[in-house]
Amino acid sequence: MQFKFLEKKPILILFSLLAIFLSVVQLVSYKGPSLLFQNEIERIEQVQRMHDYPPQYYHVANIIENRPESRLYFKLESNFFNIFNLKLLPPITIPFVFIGFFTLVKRNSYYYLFTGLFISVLVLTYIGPNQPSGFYCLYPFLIISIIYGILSILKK
Amino acid sequence: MAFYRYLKNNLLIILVLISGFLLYIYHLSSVPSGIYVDEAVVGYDAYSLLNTVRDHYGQVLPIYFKFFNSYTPGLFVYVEVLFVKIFGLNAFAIRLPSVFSMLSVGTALYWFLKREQILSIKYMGIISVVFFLMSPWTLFNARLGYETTFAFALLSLGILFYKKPILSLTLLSLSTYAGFTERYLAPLIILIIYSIFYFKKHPLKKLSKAIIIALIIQIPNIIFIFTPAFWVKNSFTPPSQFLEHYFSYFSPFNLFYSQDYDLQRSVPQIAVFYSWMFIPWLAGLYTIYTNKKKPFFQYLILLMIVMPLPAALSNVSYSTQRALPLLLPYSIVIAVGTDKILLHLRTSVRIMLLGSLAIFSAVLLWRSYFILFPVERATAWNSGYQQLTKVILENPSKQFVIDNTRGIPDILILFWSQYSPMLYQKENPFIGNYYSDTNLSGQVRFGNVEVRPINWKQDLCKNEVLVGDALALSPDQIQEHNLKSFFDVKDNRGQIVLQGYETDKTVKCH
Repeated sequence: MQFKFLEKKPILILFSLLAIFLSVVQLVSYKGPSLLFQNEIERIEQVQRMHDYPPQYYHVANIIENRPESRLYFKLESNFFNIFNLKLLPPITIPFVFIGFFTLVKRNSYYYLFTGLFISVLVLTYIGPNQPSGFYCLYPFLIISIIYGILSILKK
Repeated sequence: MAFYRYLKNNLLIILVLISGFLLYIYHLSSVPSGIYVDEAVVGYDAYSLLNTVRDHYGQVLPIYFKFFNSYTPGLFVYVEVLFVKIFGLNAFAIRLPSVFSMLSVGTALYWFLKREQILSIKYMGIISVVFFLMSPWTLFNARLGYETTFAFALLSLGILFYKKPILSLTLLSLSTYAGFTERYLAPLIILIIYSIFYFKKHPLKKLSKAIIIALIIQIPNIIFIFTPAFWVKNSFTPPSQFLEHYFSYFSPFNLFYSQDYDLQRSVPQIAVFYSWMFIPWLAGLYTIYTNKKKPFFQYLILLMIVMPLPAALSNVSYSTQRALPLLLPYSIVIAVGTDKILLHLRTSVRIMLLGSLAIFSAVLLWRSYFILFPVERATAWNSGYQQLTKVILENPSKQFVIDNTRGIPDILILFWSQYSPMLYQKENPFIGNYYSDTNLSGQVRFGNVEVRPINWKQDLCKNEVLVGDALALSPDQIQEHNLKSFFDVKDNRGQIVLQGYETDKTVKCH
């Protein structure tokens, strides 16, 4: 198998380091608004929603819709799941991403690759999807997952 | 004595099901607010069958119901007849069968998880049923008054009872008379059950009786397979888009964060599963992947592969309604994943974690479903038509013209007014072959109501009340034609959803 070298430890570490490096670049170059920023439409929607609660739940409405902690939670949730939008991948690669990911998890010794993935996800959850450069810090992980997925199927 | 022992042994699951029942019937008439046309037509056809043995087009005991040319498999309408008979024609009655359908799936899921012994933690079966019953996808569909939930229940029970072939195949075969999706899925699932569990051990022998029963049930479908009614809902996705549609049902973004693009089918700010379920879902998929040689997990993998096929083929991107059958395998995957994760934790941590997640989920569900949904989705659920019907009934001497450019308002008024089906069939006789004539004008007249697009030239020469939304009757048109305001219906945010204006033939008719 000519891709055998990809299963070697230094290669995986290299991919992980590349992911970390790209994450740092992506974080440093990010110039978007803070996590608690609301545009005018979001602000109007928030006020409308506060009014949708029955009067006796005013305090609950304030906690869920208005408190910075809640807004932060909803924003981070949105940013996090935008990373896992499979629509951003070519459909044909999706099964390989899943199979490759599970193969990597199964080989416990390759956990260091996930350090890179974890940092990339953390950075992208912070900066969110609305940035011109896209999710490029995830590419090393996606590439290695797709390769592992293909290899795992070819081996059978 | 045996009954009390049974009750004692199953007390927890009984309490869970009672809680689920209470959650599902809480404000069932008013949330969703209004009635969707698919609910109204099911309810009114059940009412029509009860009173005239015909649907509202005048067809005696149809196999597929015309429903504005969708020819929906009709088993659910016949089930509804019983509920309309007991509770009358109202939102509660038509939604109640879905409540029982979902509870039956919850019960069967519990026995299934217990019997299969795939979960290691003692109370994991109960916990899984709790999260299944309170998941947003389950709750939303448990409170709907049309066929999808009932069809899903028949299909799911058929899947879960695969060890009892006669019962399983009978339910799967019956499900094809309850929903469109099931028509395609049931044969595939029968093939899966046969190939995984019966092919090696009992080639056709053990299944023969069950297959014969399933085939006998299919006789009406076989008879009607050559009519246009059977094929009316077949608009296939172009091959280039198929994969994109198909994989959208595996996208964590869709499953745990975003909502269906159709406002009627979605709840604000909540996906079909809670966002935290992403972790157990992933853990569950991993567990299944690593155990893929075991027949049970092969069954689960194949179910996940086939369930989104009809939805992906139907030329609609990400439809939570058409992909509803996925709810069952995904709920099992989440249960398996939760079990796997909790195994690594101490009992006290497990209790704290599960308790926190249950409370957190309940708060999100309450906010999205019971607070935001009735307000933000009121128009999508036709919430103004009950008030409009009241106005029509209070003014029998006035003639109402209701604009139908953007909807099917006639069935909503028939539903809310409980208009006599016998009278309606006389006033609007359907001419043509019920199963092959797929042309419908959409213009109907009953009582003091006429449903059609507004014809400004003709309508201004009559004294009538024109009814429509803000697009049908714009401020400019109202001013130009000197229309007099008769009533308006506002939503919970004070926006006008329906308005009625009187014409005066002496003013504008030339």
